[in-house]
Amino acid sequence: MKLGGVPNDIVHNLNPIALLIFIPIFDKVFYPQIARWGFNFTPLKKIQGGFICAMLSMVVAALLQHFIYVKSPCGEFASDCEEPPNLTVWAQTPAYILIAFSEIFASITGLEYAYTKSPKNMRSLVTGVFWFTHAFSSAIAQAFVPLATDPLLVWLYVTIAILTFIGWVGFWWTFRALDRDNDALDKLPEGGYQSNSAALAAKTESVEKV
Amino acid sequence: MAIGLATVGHILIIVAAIPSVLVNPNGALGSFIIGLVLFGCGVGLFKACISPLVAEQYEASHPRGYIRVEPSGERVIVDPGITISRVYMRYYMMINIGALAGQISMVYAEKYVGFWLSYLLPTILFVFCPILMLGLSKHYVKKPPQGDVVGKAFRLYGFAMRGQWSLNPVRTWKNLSSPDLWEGAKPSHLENKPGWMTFDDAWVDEVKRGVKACQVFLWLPIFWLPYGQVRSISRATFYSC
Repeated sequence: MKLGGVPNDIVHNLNPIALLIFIPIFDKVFYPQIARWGFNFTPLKKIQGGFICAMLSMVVAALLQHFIYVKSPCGEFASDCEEPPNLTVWAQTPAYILIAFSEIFASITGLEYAYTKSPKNMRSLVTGVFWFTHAFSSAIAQAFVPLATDPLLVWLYVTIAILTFIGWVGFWWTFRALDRDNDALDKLPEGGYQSNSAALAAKTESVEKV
Repeated sequence: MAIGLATVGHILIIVAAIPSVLVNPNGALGSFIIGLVLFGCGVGLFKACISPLVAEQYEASHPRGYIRVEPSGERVIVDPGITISRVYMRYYMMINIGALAGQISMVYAEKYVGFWLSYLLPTILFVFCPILMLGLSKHYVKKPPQGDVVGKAFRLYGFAMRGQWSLNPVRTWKNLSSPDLWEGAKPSHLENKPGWMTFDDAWVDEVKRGVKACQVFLWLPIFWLPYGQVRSISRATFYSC
């Protein structure tokens, strides 16, 4: 693709750049506006938003790759081509922006979900489970490596878009009830918990009093 | 819990950062791999602990919602749930400022000087991290680690599932996903409470909610797939630049 004077590093870092631009917008404008409209944008709904944006970003990627194949002088073997296709690098921007949206919706909310929904003394563990899904997904992604080559790249993105769509529908279906109960779950009182040693100490004390 | 594990994570990362300094274009692959594995362990522990630690700082000062009176006389309800969302938004923002600064500076350090500098820079910065944390630790709100909590949570889940298994998988599924599953495991519903149950009914509800949260996370690997691919769009297209 044609760089057109843009430093390569800017394009490589479009993801953090998009996040730096859009996190304040979501924080100060978008979420407050949604709340003003009276819509209860629960964490599970935000995560669904994340699935949708991630899917759209794969659709954009598939379209983009299709046009690269069409415009490249080497056709479907664009990656090894001497001459770049006549497309500006900025054409990738929508994919990065959509994936940044999906991170704001699903990744930030997931961390928050781990914090607010776990027992107060097990927050780190549940946050760890959240990150584990990321690592696990990287392992699954290895299965797609054979597709990540010319001329199959369009199909790679289409396949993942379809998988994400199925994931979204499944997620929505599975957690309908949980989503309805969200506010009640947030209001659960903090449980009383003693470690073994604390329980033993308390027991000894009460025996001594008798 | 967070601070204890985070310290261990820090030490591991520092240990990992030392071999990674050794990695120059002629360096041994072995030391790089060991460094990477140790680094992975450190980051794994660190990441799991840092975000709850950050959010707990806020929660400790404002455990409940309150009403703030603006200078204009307007009364504003400060909701802890919304504020925690904000804390997480800003935390994520900070990570990405770091990611951007790091990636750009490392690329230029590598381009003009060499790999050793681009690994050394983050290492130097990282050494400041435990110093800062130790120096400021008396200002942090810390929750002491409760060693046996994970074991008890699993034991509780096992206890709740007892007698719910059946040869018929559909029936097992129905039993295990029934809302009443946890009721039978609440200490107040048991005539002879086993000695290891050193918690109350409310904690059982908390564990139940935590297990649900983990079930929510079971779906996330599908979400991370496109996330990983977006990074490779540029890979595939850029190498043709």
